[in-house]
Amino acid sequence: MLLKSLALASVLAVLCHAQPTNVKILPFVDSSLPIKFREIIAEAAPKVPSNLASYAFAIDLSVPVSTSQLQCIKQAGYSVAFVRAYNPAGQGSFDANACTTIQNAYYAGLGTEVYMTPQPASAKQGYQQLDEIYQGFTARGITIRAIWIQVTSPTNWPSNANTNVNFINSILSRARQYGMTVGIYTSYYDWNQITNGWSSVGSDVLLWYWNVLGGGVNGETPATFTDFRPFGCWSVPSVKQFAQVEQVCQITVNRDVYAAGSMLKASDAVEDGKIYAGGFVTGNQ
Amino acid sequence: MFKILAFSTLLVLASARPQAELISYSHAYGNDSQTIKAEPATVVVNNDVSFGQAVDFSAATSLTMLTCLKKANYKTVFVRALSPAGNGVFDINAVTTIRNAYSAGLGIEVYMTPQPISSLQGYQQFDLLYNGLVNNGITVRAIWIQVTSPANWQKSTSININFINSIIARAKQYGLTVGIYSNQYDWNQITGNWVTLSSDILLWYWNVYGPGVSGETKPNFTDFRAFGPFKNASVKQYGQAESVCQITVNRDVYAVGIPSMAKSSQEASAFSKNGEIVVGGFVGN
Repeated sequence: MLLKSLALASVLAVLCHAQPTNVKILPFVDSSLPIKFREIIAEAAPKVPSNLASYAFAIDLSVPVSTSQLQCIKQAGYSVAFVRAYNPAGQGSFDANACTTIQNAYYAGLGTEVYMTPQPASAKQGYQQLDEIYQGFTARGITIRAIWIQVTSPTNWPSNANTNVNFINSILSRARQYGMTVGIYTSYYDWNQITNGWSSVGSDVLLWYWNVLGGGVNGETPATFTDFRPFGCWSVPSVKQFAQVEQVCQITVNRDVYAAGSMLKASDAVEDGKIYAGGFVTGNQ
Repeated sequence: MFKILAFSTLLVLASARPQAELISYSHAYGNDSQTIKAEPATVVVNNDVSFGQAVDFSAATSLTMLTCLKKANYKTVFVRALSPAGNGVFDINAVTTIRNAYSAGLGIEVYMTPQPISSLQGYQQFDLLYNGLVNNGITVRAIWIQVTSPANWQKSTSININFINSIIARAKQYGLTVGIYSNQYDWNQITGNWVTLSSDILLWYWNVYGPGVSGETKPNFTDFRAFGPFKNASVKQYGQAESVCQITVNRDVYAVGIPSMAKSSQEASAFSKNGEIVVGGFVGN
């Protein structure tokens, strides 16, 4: 009995020596181990709060996902999945997995958004890469209404900002020609590095920004827009990626929030029986 | 049973954490001082550390400006002594700034912004800095190497690692303490998350939401997450591109270490050796 209470007391003492209550202690692999880490081992993501009125949750991923996995994701409180439709490997190519994921999401009742990770060093121009996506989806009977262009990882982009601006513009113009809503997935630092702070991208272009302290649960920032500061031509964001490389329903994903009022209900899109990708996150309030 | 519970509660209360500390410092915007509440540090940092306020800059400065900084409660200045212009050039401004900082009674650290795309190797650029300072009667005890802005570095992480290694090896030959000024994203982009750096290398990390006062993060290490070879941080840059005492500076906090040691570093003997000005070594770890 005494031993038990002593153990209890020690545990309590240890817990109170722990960090302030707003920092979570989770198991993570000690980087002092002799293994050289380039990857982060994804741990289970914290649960989505059920009582938040102002923000809705999404995940973004680039791996193929089944209907049951997407049903699980929906059950876990996520309303939208951002799906990668362009793979930057080599010269860049349409990511056909996206079709399957979007169809499965339709059956699971989950909204979808489409993003592309372009290949700026490709022989193919920006608009050609966008065309591959548009044609890829159309061939599978999917109507794409919006596209998010990933502008991150400065080391993957040419060091000439003007070249990069032209490349991005090429994609934007083509997307607009198709009547798509356009958005950019970036951060103020990425935007500065890659486009030198380009501020005339167009007031119709939405912003999906990211901010994490590191990968995994330990590196999350708050699931709110409070850390957003205006940059480029953006004074408000539409989406924020606040967590990277975590497990949800046993898939490795990044986690996002967006302003809840700006979302079309999934049911609005499927009344005519067609599958739509994109347009579930609409604009900035 | 009740006794055990009471005992446990007492034990828990006895282990309670100290109250948050108040730090006050003056602002460039008017002469009123602002008091900001410092949050308790996370476990990666020694809880006994006390913070010193610093600024870092590359511009030329006058004695009036530096005296103003000292009055404004900044303890140390981080001065750029190598510019990335051309192939990398010694920052002649640094000499005047260092002499003025010494007269003003400020601690002095030096940093270099190397030029990774240069005909000069890492160690040659370091030599420019070292010889430049020594030839002007300045003894260098520590150096901080800026590893930021991926767009300015080579695309090959191994080339970048060799370049950085070249600088570190040379600095150590001269018996200097070496620190890296970077952050998790920069380190990942530029070195591919290089982990096999020796554990005596210090870290000066940065995190801001954007430039200026509105983009500041908290002046403490609570947002630090271990990355690469770095398990804790010695300095954090939390504000960028602000005006203090009519200089455009970035704002930093650093771990002073054991308070008694901090006090001794303010004594004249630590500032000069054989009549020479000594720079570096003001930051603990």
